[in-house]
Amino acid sequence: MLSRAIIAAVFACELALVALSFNLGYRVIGFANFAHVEFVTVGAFIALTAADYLPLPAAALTGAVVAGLLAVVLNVSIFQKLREASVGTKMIASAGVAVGLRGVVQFVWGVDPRRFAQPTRLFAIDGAQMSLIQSVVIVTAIVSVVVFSLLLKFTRIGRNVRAVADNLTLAEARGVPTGQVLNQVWFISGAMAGLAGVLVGLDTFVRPELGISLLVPMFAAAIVGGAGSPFGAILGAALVSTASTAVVSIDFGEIFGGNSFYLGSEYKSIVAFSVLIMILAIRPSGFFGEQRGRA
Amino acid sequence: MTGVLVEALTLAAIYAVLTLSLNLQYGLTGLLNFGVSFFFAVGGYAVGVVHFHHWSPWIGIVAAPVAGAIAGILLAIPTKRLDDHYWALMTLGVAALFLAIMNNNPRIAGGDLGTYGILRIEPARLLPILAGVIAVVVVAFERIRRSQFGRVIRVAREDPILLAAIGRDLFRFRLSVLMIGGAVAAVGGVALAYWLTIVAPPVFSLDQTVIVWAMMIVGGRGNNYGSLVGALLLEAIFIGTRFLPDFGGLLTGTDYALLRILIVGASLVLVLMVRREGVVRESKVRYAPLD
Repeated sequence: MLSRAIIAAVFACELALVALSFNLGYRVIGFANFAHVEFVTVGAFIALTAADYLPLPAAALTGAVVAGLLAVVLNVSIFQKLREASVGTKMIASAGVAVGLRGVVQFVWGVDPRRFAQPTRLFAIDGAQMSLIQSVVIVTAIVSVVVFSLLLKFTRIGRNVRAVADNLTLAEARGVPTGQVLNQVWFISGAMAGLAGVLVGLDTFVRPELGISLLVPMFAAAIVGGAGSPFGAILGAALVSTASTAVVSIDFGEIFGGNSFYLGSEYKSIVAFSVLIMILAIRPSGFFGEQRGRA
Repeated sequence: MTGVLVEALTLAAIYAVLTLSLNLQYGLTGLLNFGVSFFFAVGGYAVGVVHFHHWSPWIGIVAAPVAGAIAGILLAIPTKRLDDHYWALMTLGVAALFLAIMNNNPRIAGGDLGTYGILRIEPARLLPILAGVIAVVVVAFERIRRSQFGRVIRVAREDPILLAAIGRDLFRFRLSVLMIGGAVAAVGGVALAYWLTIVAPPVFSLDQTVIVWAMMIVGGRGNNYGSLVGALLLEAIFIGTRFLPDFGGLLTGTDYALLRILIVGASLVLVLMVRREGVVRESKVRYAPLD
């Protein structure tokens, strides 16, 4: 039971970073960026390569920074030029960017999954096994979220970001350098996704489909929490992760009487999405999303 | 050589059917359907399920468009209250959900391995059939575009609130468009199944959705002939890469597959940046003057 809880917590932490950074982008930049999950993949692969030369923490940081820079480059070269375009157009463009990036990743690193070379030390809590890596994932994710919220709340950058998120035109009129702020948002959002990629990579494998496998859970977590609400994303991630881990942990044989019967882990994404559908049916804008007037 | 071209033309024709369906949904109605693959997967799986259980192939062919229309209803109902962004993400999820179910239940149509050995319809026979399907769909969609229904769905695209203000039910129009689009895409899925001879989850991946989007955007959103141009153009570029020199063995088979996906991504982004309306512009519908 406890070991299942650990698995759920680790997945929730990874997903929370991805969904939180996605929501930051969604809120400030104003569209759902399909390419966001590819920052996860790029971060993981860069860190994997850097780990050949650098100690692991430095390699992880490199992965995150490169993913952040990639996000800025994409903003400057593509999305800034689509500023006047409709939300739909931007989403379509981001889908194009996403498949393009995945193609480049496969070109550079190949299609086979790889692993970080790392100590697989285990320790026991109350009889449940927990690996060193799992605890690192949880601690890193919590620290990043805390740093992120402090940054948003107390620094000049954070204040500018909040101003731009609130009202871009007004912020511009008041002399906030909006172009620069948007680049900062892309960087932070990309770097957090990249860091999440390193964590998922450490925990499991690094493969080109790493990002896209998180696409649906990310949307589910982000939307359940309310798209655009950074902290709703954390709640969403916890909910999606708990529900999907719980379903594969229940012994249905015991409940209905009969042989032991578990659902396969492939059901995780199905459950994640079913949770999403149910919640959206009740609250069309998620838990913390703003309720808009509708046609 | 001719063989390769005929195969490519057949595939282009299959994609043209899918692109026409997406053009009705997005180009004309403004529905951001990122789950187009759901619709043609339903068509493909109609063939797959029938083949897997050794029923008469005609059952699958007849059932496919009906199943596609039902898929349209299934997509429309739970997303009824959602606004644009959520709607778009939801369609993607529904497509993923459908594939996950097919992937995990080997008893429906072979699970993750899918079902193989469907009797292939050779391009020499498939191509004329597809030409007929495309002709019917283009004529029908052009009629829709010029009709009162077409006027209303364009209003839905430009300003859904205006649509509500003039007393029209947005949901009803979305539902009709999704049912028609679902049925047409399902027919494309049937053709794909009979051309590939395989029905398996990877055949209907998200990448396929992006390919169809790229064809629609490159050809020109809102223009039915543009959809045909886009499908032909991208398929021509794909087949063109096959004739690239392999640079002394530098490019392998997987590289060509990657090149394909790179072209899709690049063409999509490039067209949106340089010529957003696509190769063929949407033409204005002229109506007789009102007296």
